[in-house]
Formats: sequence, structure tokens, C-alpha cells
Amino acid sequence: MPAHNPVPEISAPMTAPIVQLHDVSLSIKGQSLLNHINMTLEPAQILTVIGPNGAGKSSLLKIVLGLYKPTRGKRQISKRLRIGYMPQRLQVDDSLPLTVKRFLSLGGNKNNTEIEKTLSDVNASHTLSRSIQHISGGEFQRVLLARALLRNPSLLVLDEPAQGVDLHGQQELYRLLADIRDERQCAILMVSHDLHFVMARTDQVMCLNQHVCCSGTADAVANHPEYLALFDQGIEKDFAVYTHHHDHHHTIHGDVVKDDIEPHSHAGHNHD
Amino acid sequence: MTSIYLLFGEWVAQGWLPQMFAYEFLLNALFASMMIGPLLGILGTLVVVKRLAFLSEAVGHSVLTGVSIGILIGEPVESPLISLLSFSMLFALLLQWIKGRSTIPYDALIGVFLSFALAMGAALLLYVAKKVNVHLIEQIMFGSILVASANDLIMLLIICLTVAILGYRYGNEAYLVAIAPEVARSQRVNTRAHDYGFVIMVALITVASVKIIGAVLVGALLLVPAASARLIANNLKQLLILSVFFASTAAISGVLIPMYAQWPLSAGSAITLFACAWFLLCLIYRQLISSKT
Repeated sequence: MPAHNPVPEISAPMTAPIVQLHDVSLSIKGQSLLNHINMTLEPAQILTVIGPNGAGKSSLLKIVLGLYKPTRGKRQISKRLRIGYMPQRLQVDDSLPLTVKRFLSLGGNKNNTEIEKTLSDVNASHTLSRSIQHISGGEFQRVLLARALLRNPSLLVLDEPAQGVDLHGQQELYRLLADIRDERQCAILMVSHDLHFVMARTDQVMCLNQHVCCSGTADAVANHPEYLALFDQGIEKDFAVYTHHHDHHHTIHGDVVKDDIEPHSHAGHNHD
Repeated sequence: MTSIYLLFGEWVAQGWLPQMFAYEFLLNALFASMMIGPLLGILGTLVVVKRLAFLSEAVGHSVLTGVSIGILIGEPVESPLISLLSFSMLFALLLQWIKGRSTIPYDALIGVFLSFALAMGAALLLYVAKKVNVHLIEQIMFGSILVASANDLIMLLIICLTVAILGYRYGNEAYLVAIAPEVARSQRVNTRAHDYGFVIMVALITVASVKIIGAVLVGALLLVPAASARLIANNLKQLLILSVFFASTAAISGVLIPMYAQWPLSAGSAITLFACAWFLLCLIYRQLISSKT
């Protein structure tokens, strides 16, 4: 079973990367959050960013989104880049009575048929005229995804889309995302809340801990029968385990230590 | 304007309208309240969503200082508009500017500004009032239907039109900025411009309505109608319509009813009390609805 489908064949002029980060560093209030990040995102590519808490995953997304300016380095985006952003959480204040339909039309998308179609694409048609404060967490997440899709994006940025969603929900979500990529040919950049589980169809995984620890393709989940035994219903099609290949580890302060200098000190940590 | 006054005078003479409509000042106040009501109603919904009720209060209080400074530098006592506008605007912009650059919670920051504005205003106002007219303090603090002039009406109209145009063009976006600023920014919406624009509008409207409602209570009309509407509205459209309706009826009845019944009330307190009556009604209505289901 292939771990991931190959990136669809794209003709030469289209293959210019849509987002490139060149040696990007970010520090906020003197605290260094990201160091020397290089990243390239091709059209229609799925890139998953993983890493421990405080690794700077969300900050990286915000740099890609243009919400943060890198302290050093350069962010290069293609001219026609349209971003659809799905935030990790969104608290819609109770003081604003808002239906899902109205929420989706805020900020530009006024076409009703388009709203209804996109909502049915993410399997949330039934929420259309409900109040946004009274739908479940999973439904709200799909509504947020619909919101991002309504932008007709060439890049979909998702901040921990699977957080707070159970495994079957995640499975559904990952299938949905794969379909979206195949249908719309938009690139997907997402942060995963789990160090080991990533979407099987992801083309590239990037492990972040203030710097890029490692990156590469995801291995098949089939190698791990332990996990397979836990779930049935063909879950292996949608999940994969990413195995980390580091040539270094971190001290308690986050400094990089090459493994040949000081192998397996317990003061440091180890991503595996 | 004169032809309108004459028209109303005629209607009074024919016995269609009560005697009080023959007074120019009352007509001015009536027209002003007809513009103030919808303005404050619309903006109030955003004030409530953005949790800026306290801000509008602070900007209202800054008017006290603005008026005193105006009188001190020799502007006419009845309408120290230039100093009023510039001071309140400066006050609001400074507040917004510091907000983006400090770690103090926003409500605490507004609290500091509010205290300053009130203390400074009280100190200066007592000093200048001795020179001009003691009733001035009462008028500025609680509003009066006696003082709106034709010039004020023109200014109000301009502000009304500006807000209407901006609201039509950017209103939808403004709600997105209020509930999801980062999503808005990812769509290349300039959220900073929105925030500053909103604060400027609050300052403009505060200054424009301060003569009728008064510095102390102007914040109330930004807050109470929108909060009342929130109690019973099920969607955004209802929220806007109800908020505008509550604010307008409160403003108009607050001007007309005390005059007609000859109650010794200042316009500001009458308007605020009518708005609070709406709030009470909405509260009762909601209780009845929820006890039924």
C-alpha cells in the first residue's frame, strides 16, 4: 500500500513554489521562537508541520499567513496566492447572534448558492440556518473549513484542524482534505497536534522545534500493527506514522546537540 | 431651516400639533434626536460585540475636558466644537495607540483614561463655569434640549452620512474583524485601520450627540439599546433593526415627552431612562418566552 499518492503531474510553468521561506528567524520581545527556517511549498502540495508544544508551529503559520513579519530572512509568495485560513479556535461572542449562513457571508462571500454548495462539500449543510453558538465543536470546525474554502484559495492553511476531534472525525477530515486537494488543486499547509499521527496523503512532513529538525515523506501506518489493531474500518488509508530521523537532540534549553558528541543524555529530549 | 420652522408653526396654528412644536429649539432637538438615535443604535451593536462599552463611556467623559479647554482658549460657550472634536478624537486615538503597545488589560487602560478625563474635566469645568454660567455644568454633563443649533444639525447630518457610507461599504467586514481578527488579516483586511476607524467614529458620534444627551450619559445610548436588542434578537439583521428602533424611540421620546408633560428632567436622563425601559421590557419578554418553552 502506498503511503501517499504522488503529487499530481503539473506542467513546468506552474511548478514555481507558491510560498518560500528563506532562512527565516522570528523573535518576539527578545525571545527567539524560530531559527533559520527554510521551507518550500509547491502548488497542490500537502505539508504537515509537527512538533512539541512551544515549537513555534503556530508562529510559522502566522509568518506564512503574513500576520507576523520575520525578524530575519525572507518570505516569498507567488503573486496570485489566495489564502484560506482556518484558525485553531474561534470564539464567537454570545453578544453577536449569528447564523452559520451569515457567518460565512461576513467579509465578502455573499453568493448564497456558493455558500450552500461549500457547506455541503464539508458535510455540514444541516447547520446552514442554525446559530453559530449552538452547533457542536466538530460542526463548527467544518464550518470554519467551509469559510476558508469560500475564499477559493490556492493555499489552505489549517491550524491543528484535528484537535478536539475523535479518531473517526479525524479520519473523515483527512479524507475531506485529500478530496479538496484533488478537486481544487490547492496546496495545504497544516499543523498537526500529534507528533506521530499525520495525514497519510501528506506529501511532506516537517518536524519543527524552533528550527527544522527533520522533514520528509510520511511512512505507512501499516508498519505499525499495534495501531492497526486498535482500529478497524480501514483507518490505515487515512493515517500514517511519521518516523523521525534526527541526527541531533536538544538540551533542556533547546540547544542543538549533535548525537555523536553526547549520545542520549537524559537532560535533553528526544522526539521519538 | 426657516421654512421648516414655519411649516411646523402652521401645523401648530391649525391645531394638528401641540403648542410646543412652535419652538425652534424643540424642533432642533427633535431633528437631532432623529439622527442620533439610529447612529448610536447601529454603532452600539459593534460596541457590544467588541466589548467597548467602557470605551464609549470614557470618550464621553473626555468631552468635559474638551469643553473646558475650548472655553479657556476663547471658543464660544455654546459650541466649543473645535476643541471638543479635537480633544475627544485625540483622546480616543491615544487610547487605541497605547492599547497596541502595552501589556495592561484594555479595560484597566480605559479606566485610567476615564479617571483622568473626569478629574481633569471636573477641575477645569468648575474653574471656567465661574466665569460663564453655572448651569453650563449641568448642561454639559446631562444634556439639554435647549442648545442644539442649526449648525449642530448640519454637523450631525454629515456624520450620519459618513457613517452610513462607511457602514454600507465596510460593515460586513467590520463584524468579521470584531469576531475573527486573524482570519480577517489573512484575507488582507487592514484590521488596524478598522480599529482606528471605529474609535474615531465613536468619538465623532459622542461629540455630535453630547449636547442633547450630555457627557455622562452619552455612552448609555451606545450600550443600552444594543444590549436590549441582543436579549431578543435571533440574528444579525434583527439585532441591527431592533437596536436602531430602541435607540431612535428612546431618543425621540426622551426629547418630546418631558417637554409635553412638563417634567423637570434633563434630556440625557430622560433618553437614558426610556432606553432602560426598553431593556426592562426585553428582559421580561425573554423571561416569558423561556418560561414557556
